[in-house]
Amino acid sequence: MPDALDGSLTPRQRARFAQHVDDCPECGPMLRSLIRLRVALRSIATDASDPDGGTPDGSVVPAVLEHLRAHPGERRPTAGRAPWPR
Amino acid sequence: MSEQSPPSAQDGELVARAKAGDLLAFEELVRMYADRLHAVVRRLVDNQDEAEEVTQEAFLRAWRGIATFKGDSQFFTWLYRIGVNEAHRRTSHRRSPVASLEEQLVEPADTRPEPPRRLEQDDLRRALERAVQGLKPDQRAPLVLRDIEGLSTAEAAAILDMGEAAFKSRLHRARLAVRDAVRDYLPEDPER
Repeated sequence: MPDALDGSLTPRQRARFAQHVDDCPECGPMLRSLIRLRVALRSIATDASDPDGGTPDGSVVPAVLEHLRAHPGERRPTAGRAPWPR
Repeated sequence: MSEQSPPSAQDGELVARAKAGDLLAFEELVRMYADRLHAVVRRLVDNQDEAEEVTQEAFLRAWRGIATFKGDSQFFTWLYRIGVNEAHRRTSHRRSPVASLEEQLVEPADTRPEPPRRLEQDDLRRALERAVQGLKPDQRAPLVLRDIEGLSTAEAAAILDMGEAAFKSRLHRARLAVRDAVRDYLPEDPER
């Protein structure tokens, strides 16, 4: 299912999956619901400034530039990178 | 959208100049990517202020460490990785303030005298945002990067330092959780 959503199935796999989806009372609705979800999620991508629904703030570029200019510091390798939990 | 984004010649030139110590070139990269990174980070931390701090810190770390960027990935992939890990560093010691998806989003059936009405787009957006915030962090980041931000599977998995198979598995669980949380708000299945 994830590969089908990603469009990463081979043509043969896609044909078999499509046939299965047509016949399966669970997979068809699941696939269609996940497609609708993906469309909805993409629609909120450009409106991320405030997930709580408030008025989106302006650009963060000025604040980032100000921070960068105020703390240029010593350039060195990035340190202490904690991996995202697996 | 599983393909990699095309390499950016503009990125390459700016990165090369930044590596040589040109802060103005790096500031151009800030202008190109700061708001995009902030949009991602905002969904991974608790509030707007923290998202801005994480974004600032990510760029500062990127500037200080850009000499270590080998160029074998897109610049923004490397930058996102710094930002995502900075967000994780700040939130990992806290308990999520967000209740479970079920607690947040499931309306008691007996309080609704009518079938759920088709909500406005704003309501759908808010429901989606709450559902995403309600995900466990290890599921939230894959969904934000892949489905909201629109990165390819390969790019998003690389940012999270995960294999693609593990990434897809986690993403699928996240999608199912969010879908279940917002099921009533999504457009109806035309084939039902």
